[in-house]
Amino acid sequence: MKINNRIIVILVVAVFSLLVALALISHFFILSTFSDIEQKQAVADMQRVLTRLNDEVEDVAAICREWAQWDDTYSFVNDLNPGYVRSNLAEPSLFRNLKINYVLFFNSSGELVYSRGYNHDDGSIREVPPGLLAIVRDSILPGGSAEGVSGRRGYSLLDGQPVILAGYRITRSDLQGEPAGTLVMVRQLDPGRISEIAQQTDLDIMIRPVLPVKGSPGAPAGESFNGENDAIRITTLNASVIEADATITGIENTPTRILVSVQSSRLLYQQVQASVAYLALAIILLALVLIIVIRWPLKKYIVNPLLSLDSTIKDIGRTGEIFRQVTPGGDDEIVSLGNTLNRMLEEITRAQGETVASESKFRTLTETSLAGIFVYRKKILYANHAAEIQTGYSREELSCMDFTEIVHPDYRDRIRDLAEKVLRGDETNTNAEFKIIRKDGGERWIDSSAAPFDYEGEKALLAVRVDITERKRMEEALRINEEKFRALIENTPDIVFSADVTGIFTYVSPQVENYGFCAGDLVGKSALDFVFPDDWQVFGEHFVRTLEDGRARSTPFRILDRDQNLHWMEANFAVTRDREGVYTGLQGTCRDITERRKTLDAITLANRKLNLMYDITRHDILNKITILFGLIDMTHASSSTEEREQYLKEIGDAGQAIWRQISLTRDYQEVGVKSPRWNSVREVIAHAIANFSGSGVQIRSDVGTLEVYADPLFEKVMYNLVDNALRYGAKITTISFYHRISDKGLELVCEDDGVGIEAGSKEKIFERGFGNNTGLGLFLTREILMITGIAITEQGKPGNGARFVISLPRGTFRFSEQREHPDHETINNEENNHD
Amino acid sequence: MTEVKILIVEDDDVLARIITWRLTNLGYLVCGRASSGAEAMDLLVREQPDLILMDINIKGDIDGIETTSRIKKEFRLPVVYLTSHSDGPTLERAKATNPDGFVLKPFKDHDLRVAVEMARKK
Repeated sequence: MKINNRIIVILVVAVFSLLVALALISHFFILSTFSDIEQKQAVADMQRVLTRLNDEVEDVAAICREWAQWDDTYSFVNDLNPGYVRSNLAEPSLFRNLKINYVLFFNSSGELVYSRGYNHDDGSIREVPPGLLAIVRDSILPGGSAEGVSGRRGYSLLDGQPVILAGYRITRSDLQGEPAGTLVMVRQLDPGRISEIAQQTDLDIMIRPVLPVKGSPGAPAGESFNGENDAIRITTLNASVIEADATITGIENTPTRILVSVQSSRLLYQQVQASVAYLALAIILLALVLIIVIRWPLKKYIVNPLLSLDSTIKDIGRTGEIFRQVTPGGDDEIVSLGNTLNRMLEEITRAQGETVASESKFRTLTETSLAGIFVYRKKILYANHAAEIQTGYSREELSCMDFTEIVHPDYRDRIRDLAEKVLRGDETNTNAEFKIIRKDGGERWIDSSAAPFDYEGEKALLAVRVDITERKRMEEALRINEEKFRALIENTPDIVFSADVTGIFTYVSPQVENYGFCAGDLVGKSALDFVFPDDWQVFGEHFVRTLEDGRARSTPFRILDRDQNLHWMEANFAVTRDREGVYTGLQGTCRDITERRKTLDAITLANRKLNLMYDITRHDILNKITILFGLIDMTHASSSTEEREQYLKEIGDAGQAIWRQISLTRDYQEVGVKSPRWNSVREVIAHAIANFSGSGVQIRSDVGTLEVYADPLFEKVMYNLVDNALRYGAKITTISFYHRISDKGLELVCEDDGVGIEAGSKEKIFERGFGNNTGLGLFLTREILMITGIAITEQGKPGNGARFVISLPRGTFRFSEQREHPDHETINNEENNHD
Repeated sequence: MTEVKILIVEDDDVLARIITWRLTNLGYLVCGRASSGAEAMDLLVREQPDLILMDINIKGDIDGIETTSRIKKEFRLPVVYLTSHSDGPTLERAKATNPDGFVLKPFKDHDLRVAVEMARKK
């Protein structure tokens, strides 16, 4: 709609609204107020009429009272004097002047003695109608009363015409004596009289009978009026007349009701209505004038400049010459608008320049991008050069294709659904990996991300697609390698682990479950929690130093498994780095070297023991050789045959000693040569005591399936214990082997019933040189056991036999799963004793 | 010539008798023989020898090296070790006591005389 027309419409609507407001205001406020005034005026008019009618009643009553107190009247009732009639009742003009229509004289007995009626219209005398007598006897002379009700006055209806009645007792003028009867005068309110009253009050008056209850039997004809007595009802009859109605009650004991209506013209109301109409008309005319008068300056100063601006802007829009400027003159808001438009045009020009530059950059970027860039809705709208290389299709071919055509059928539905969701805004994660089929039929993996944007006025999708085929191949190769790696990790006996720079495990392979730990539970815990506390410092130092210098390290340490068994582990670890070469933690393996460690420790200890034994042996042999040399020299120097024989005997003893030493060396030459091993105690005892089959001593073995981790010379230990018992036990009859649980593990006991060991010798018996034989038996026994950390002590009571207790710490004993042997096994039975 | 009094510390009876025989033949006076370190200290005080021939492996709580160390501290007497030990650690321990000579077993008269005389000359 044009601005001009809009202004006219606005003015018309404004005028119409004004008129509506005026109508509402006049209806609800102005006219309503005048209606109230009008009704109040009607009520006042009615009250004035009722007052006037009441004056009529009082007038009739005054005339009647005056006449009733005349002496002539008093006499007339008694004697019906004709002179009274001639002088007072014969002249109709008198009654016309008094406006009395009927005069009735009743004697003291209540009998009507004289009556006369006057027709004022024609001046004739007429009879009193019977209806009037009935009214009088129902009002002034009620119930046949002879004296009547003096002073009673009021209205009634006579033959449908309203009348005014008044009755007074007839008395002397001095009011002495008994009343002679009752005088009743009646004034008929005929149309003429009502007209007179109307003229006097300047009101249009109607007096009509009322039907008290509509339809009641015997009710006289007339208006119905439901209001209370003396109530005034206002009725607007039409636009020009308003009527006030009131009822007046008859004089009868059974009263009639008379309706008095006063109609008034509504001049004031009509004038106000006319004034409102004139005002409305004036407003309309004024509006028309305003429209005509205002439109010109509006057009000149506002519309035309705006149209000029509009024309210029349209022209710029049509030609696209946005560098043009609009040229408004003056300093008003339209000029400001023009200036603003000029700034906008400048801004648009600048933005357009930037857009062109941006588009140029976009083109350059897209054309040089290695990623395929597509714009599509259903069809492909744009594809860059990389898209051509990626798909094998030319841009012309792509522009005719549905964007899902190049998608591999396995992914086509998913990609189509995803594109639709992204376009609708239902999906925000636009990344997708899928395969495409190139023009040559080859399949390529694509990583695509898309975003909705406005393209040529409609929403489209901008997708960037990167060829990730090589990456996928690498990922697959990586996955295969990872599976291999995982299989390798999970099948190697070593524990593979990784930890961050604070020593918190980030991965632990399942082999850790061999030690009662759950691999998953260790992740997130400190590696030191896994290490035996005594080794925390060494392990921690290696850990820190590796993180400091980045060199791979190997460190032995111990762990306690869930059953509190100690295991030697060897950790080989190296630092891990991120791409920038920053250390991210350590990774490596843990190998259980418990067996190796035991073996190594045992061999080391065995070598030391062996060297010691060699040293002892050599020392002893050298001593004996020294003795031999000395004895030989002494033999040469001696001339005594006895001495020489003694020296020769001693030479023989020394040679014998040398032989025993060498024999001992042979027996113990295997110490430390072979690795410690698990020895079945039962079998070892059986082998060892086979050398004593003829000893006559009963040897009992109650060791079950016990196995001891010890040097292979463990059998020599058992041999020495039996040999020692037999050699020094004296009264010995039984040797028993059995095991028992101790605080630190298990104890293997060798017990006999011989003389036992003296209290002061319990420890000396394990020293070298103690005893009567080589002095090395128990010494070497202890040394052999110590190779694997086993201790031996003598705990028997002197006189009650010896009890050698071999203490087996955890890890040096076990019970094999072989068949159970008899709980008690007697190795040397009675038969053997006799062999 | 003044007789040289020599104390023998050796736990092997036969060997002690042979050493005594050899020293006597060489003209030395064997003033006593001890089997342990404690016995040696007693004889040392009582006999006041000029020289001690000390075996390294002797009976008792202290060995010959420890006994020599005490003798050196308290009496400043020459001590010659009689030993069959040739292993490094033992010899090192022995050398740490600043002995006046070593006689390695087996030995003859000549070995004993040279060792004793060398010790006396120091």
